[in-house]
Amino acid sequence: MAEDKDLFSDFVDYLNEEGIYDFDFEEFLEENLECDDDDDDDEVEESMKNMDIFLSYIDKTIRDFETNNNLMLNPKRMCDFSKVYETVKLLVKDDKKATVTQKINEPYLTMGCITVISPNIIIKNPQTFVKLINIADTFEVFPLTNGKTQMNFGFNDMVIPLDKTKDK
Amino acid sequence: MINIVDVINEVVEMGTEDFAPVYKLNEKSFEIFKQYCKVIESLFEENDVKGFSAQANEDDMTMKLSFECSYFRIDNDTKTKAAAVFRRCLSMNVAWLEDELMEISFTFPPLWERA
Repeated sequence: MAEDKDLFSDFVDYLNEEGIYDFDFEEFLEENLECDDDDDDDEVEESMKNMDIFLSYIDKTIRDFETNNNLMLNPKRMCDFSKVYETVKLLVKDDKKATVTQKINEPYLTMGCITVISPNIIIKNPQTFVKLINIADTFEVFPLTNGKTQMNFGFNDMVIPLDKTKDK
Repeated sequence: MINIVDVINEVVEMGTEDFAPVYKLNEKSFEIFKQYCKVIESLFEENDVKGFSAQANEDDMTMKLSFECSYFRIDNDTKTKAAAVFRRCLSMNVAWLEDELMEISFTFPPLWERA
């Protein structure tokens, strides 16, 4: 609860710093960050505007964290990341059309992502697949516009502040 | 909102008639399978599902559940549920259907056994 309050007051400070005085908190919370199909254009535009402001705040918070801390690669998460990357490559090795790529420290230093792109992703070993999902922080699948589907394994905490290395 | 269990009941009933008298339904496996269907239902509730189909494969007696959706995401809140279901299935398949639409299929072990 205390953390929520801090986040809220930080957000209010951010709005004041940026000179944003028309942020509609009530609507923002009521909308639950989503637009309904029956919303009219003005409501959708207002929701999008609120969301943009909130995302800018999140962006600034993360950039501040990256600037104000001495960071180092998190050995445990790097190890997890490599493990998942190598295993994913093995899982889709029979699929000649599949490409597996990895990105670390993009768009933020703390983030990492392993991506599989293929027209038809077949997982024949769900037991192993479940272990990979459990290691990663997020898992998502979506269709692309080029006839392929994309599967992402997202990782957080790829870098950590130096003073926290003992805990991780 | 889709009701997976109703569809499953219908498909399994038809399958049981088709596969008889050589194969009969394993009631215990079916009850467990229905529990997993409920978990899948709740998993897909959070992801905008456009269509759902169930199919009993007469060659190997497996059950295939297919979901059409534009986005599927698992995070820390839904991880346990997803893991329980995925662990139970024999294979998973993600296929592109059209722009902003894909099909996610799960193949589950046979529900029928030799009579």
